Amino acid sequence: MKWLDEERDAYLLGLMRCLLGVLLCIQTWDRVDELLTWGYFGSVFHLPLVPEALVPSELVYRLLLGLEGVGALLGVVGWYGREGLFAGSSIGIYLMLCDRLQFHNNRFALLLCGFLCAFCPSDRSFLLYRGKRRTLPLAARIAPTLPRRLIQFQVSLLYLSSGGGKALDPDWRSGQTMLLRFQAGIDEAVQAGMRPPHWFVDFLTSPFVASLGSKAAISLELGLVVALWFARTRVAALWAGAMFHVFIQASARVELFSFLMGVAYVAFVTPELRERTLLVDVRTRAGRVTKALVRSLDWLARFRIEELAPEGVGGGAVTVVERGGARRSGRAVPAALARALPAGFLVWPVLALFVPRRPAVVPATTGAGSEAGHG
Amino acid sequence: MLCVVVSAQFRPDRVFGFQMFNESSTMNIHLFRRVRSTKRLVPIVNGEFLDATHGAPRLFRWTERVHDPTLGKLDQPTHAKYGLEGQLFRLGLALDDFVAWMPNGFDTVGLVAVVETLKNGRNPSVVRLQSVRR
Repeated sequence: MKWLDEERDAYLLGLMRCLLGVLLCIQTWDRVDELLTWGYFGSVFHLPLVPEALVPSELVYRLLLGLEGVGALLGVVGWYGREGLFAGSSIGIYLMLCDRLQFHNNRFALLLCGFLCAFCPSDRSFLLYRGKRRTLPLAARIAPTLPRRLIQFQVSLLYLSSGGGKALDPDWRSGQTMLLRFQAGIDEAVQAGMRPPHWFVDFLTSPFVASLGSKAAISLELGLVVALWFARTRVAALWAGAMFHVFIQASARVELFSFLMGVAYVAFVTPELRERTLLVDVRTRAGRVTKALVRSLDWLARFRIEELAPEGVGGGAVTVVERGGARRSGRAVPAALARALPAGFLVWPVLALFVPRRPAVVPATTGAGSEAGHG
Repeated sequence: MLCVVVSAQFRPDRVFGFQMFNESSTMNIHLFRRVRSTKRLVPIVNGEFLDATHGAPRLFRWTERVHDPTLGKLDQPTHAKYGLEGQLFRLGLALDDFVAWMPNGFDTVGLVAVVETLKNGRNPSVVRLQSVRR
């Protein structure tokens, strides 16, 4: 089977390891904060899923939290990063089993992602402890990436479980649950001193809107289960998913969940790097600005930046050559850039509206996409 | 992973099941204690009560044992995170834990929780849970 023995560029897996390490650090710190605020969970009412004898004493608990934090830090800097992430996430999962009162879906999802990422060849890039030599050469980065598929599978499973549970619940399907969530959100906003406009309150507390929103959320979650796996639908699915999580982050207390999903989405990005080319005329202001912008925002290393040869000047200051060889220039450039740059991804569909109906597409003879999709 | 998610459907609080925002239910917990000297239930006000053994009084607080933000809130409607069924299951165990934790010799022999529930804004009902010292 293709997936079992595929070998791809592991550069982005290093980025995932690093970012998951950061999220795990934050999560560990939150647990330390809870320990300092509330005290040791084992000395009060707690609900272990493991036998009580396996629940650590306060001293051991503090030690384990410290080790979890150290593991997460190693994951960030990359020095024994995979081992660190493995240790950190394993300890986190174990501690969660020691008290289900501390369980949160977002925390569990992060720990699982970290655990799976530790099995990926994520130790070939973003080795921050090596300074400028933080990325290994391409030949050393090519590695079996089956665990990347497991992270993708986990993301799909998460949406399936969440969306499926809602779809089976009549109150969710009818919009009743969402209506109450909207009302609770408005109540919280009012309590916090905000004064949402009446039309907005009326809109959100309308049963029709809640019903529509419910059906849209269920459809989206179940749609993402499938759409993320197909090249034709992946970019749209990633965009819809990203918007969904931005909305959730803004309207509910989900701790790091939206950020985690943003990181997990990296697993769906084409692993090969710099398959797009940005051609810029550095003699123009637009060319220089675009070059600087892309250089600083191209976190997924999508673009190879080249300066336009003098004879090439005339077709615009900036041209994007897509993975398949199609050229985008003029009003099509912002959309082509936003599609591949995480910082602009959310506005990509808006920018795409400004693309002329018949963009200048010139199939090139070079360049081939290895896995069509986002990035 | 699949086993964990599937088996979560059989746990009352659905932990490890990735059931996000599964309910918009509320619960309002009122605590009472059962004492030796009377058959009537004695309400616990502000989550604390004074009890005595051998003439030595002691103040007990519900939040001494129960730090959970949902179960720790008494006499006010609270969002039942992860669903009503799960929170009632946890509350029953919390009552058992509190009663078992109380030292012997006090007047209090048990706790009763009267919980007003509202499942997704509908079907208001009252659930009574109790735990008695064994």
